[in-house]
Amino acid sequence: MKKIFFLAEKELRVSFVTPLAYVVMAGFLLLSGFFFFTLLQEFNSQLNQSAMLRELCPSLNELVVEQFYHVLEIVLIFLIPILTMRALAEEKQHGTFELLVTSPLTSSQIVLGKFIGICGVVFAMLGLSFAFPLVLILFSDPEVLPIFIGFLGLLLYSASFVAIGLAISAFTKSQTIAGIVSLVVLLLLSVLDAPAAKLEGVAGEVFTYLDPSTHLDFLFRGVISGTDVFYFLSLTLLGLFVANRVLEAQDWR
Amino acid sequence: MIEAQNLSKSFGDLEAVSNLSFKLESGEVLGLLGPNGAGKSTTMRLLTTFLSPTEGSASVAGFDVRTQAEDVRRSIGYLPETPPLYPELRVREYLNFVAKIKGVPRAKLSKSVSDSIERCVLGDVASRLCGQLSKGYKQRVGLAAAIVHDPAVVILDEPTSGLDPAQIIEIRKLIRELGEKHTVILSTHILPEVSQTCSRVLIISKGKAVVEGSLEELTKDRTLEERFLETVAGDTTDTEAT
Repeated sequence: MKKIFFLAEKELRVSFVTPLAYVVMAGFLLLSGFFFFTLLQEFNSQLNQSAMLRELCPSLNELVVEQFYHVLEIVLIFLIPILTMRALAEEKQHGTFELLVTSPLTSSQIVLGKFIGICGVVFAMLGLSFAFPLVLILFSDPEVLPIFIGFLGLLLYSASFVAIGLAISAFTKSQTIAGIVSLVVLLLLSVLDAPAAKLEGVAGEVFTYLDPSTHLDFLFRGVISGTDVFYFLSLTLLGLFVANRVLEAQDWR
Repeated sequence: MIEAQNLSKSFGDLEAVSNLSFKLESGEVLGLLGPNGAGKSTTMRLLTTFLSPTEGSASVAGFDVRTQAEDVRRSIGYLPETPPLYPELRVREYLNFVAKIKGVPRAKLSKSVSDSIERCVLGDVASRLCGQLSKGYKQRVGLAAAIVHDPAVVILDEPTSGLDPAQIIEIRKLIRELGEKHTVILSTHILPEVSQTCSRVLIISKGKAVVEGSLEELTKDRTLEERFLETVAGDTTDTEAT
């Protein structure tokens, strides 16, 4: 248990010494800030229109927060592979993997240490981007609970993507390959429900269930249910399990 | 301390190590000698549990490499061919990390790290980034990492490769000192290194042990160089004899 923490600590230290984590975080905040601004602008113009037409006032939660989270959902598909691709591939490239494997560590400790370390970076990044919804809470009157539930959804979602990226990184020595494959897998996973509407019966349901956005839709709206949380937790466990098995099974050269 | 019995390892059709048997008592320094590609690194990787043997068995510090891998890992310090450094960490940070994952208790941590820094003469670079060190310093940091937890067995894969003559002399001196406290296996293809640092010699060629014995036995009637050339004759043309 302590060793997992040592590995995670090293991971964080390494991440924040190189510019990579800062670049990714800055990019993420720039993008999220830009989209937040655009969404607010859109909301404002709708607000003016509805005042003129005496329509129902548009909801800040629906039009800004929910949409904002959906944008982050997409941006994360591209940024998480950048953070996970180096995870195990780089250790193998530098030969430091030999150090880890010949130390009294189990492969699950190695995997969990990496997972926690990378999640630390991603969660810090998401935490900073929470400043935008926080502005709304402080200066306007949105419904607060759905904002937090939606954010929890984002955390669960990124954790599961980190675990998948880690599993893919376990297979290869090449960071580039790990990055590209992770991107493809995560993108594919995110559009799985596209053909679902045309598929009949069970196949359609399965595709819809497997798509993370099906579950995020509920969480972003502030609806928290066991099914959705279970989906992300099992996806995370699956990723960690695969990564662990790959490390155990490979006879290193 | 170390015992290998009919140790074999193949990668597909290639038999990197075949039927290797040897024994090493506590406090001895074994020189693993052989031309490039003879299976030196593979043998070491089998002993460190980085690879698992296809056939045969080996025990290190009384633990089986197959069934008690975790205990083996606790008892060894290993310097691979390229020192496994994190370029982003400072030397002291790195050694701290290695000591922690090797299971050095918190109370002894800073003393263990300082000791290894002192023994490998790294005081001047302790707060530099590993990535910015010269090759010789990197090698020494790797060596410090291999001994930071004071293991019973130290396994060094070509510890002097790529160093300048002054550094080579220093590292050899260090290895001789290590031999006083630890059981050491080192691999090399440089003959004088063996006669200067080792008490036992194992010459391997094409994955097989050809000669094993104490340095005195082997150099009684012939020089080590003659022995070596005779045993590996025809195997290689690029044997270095510096």
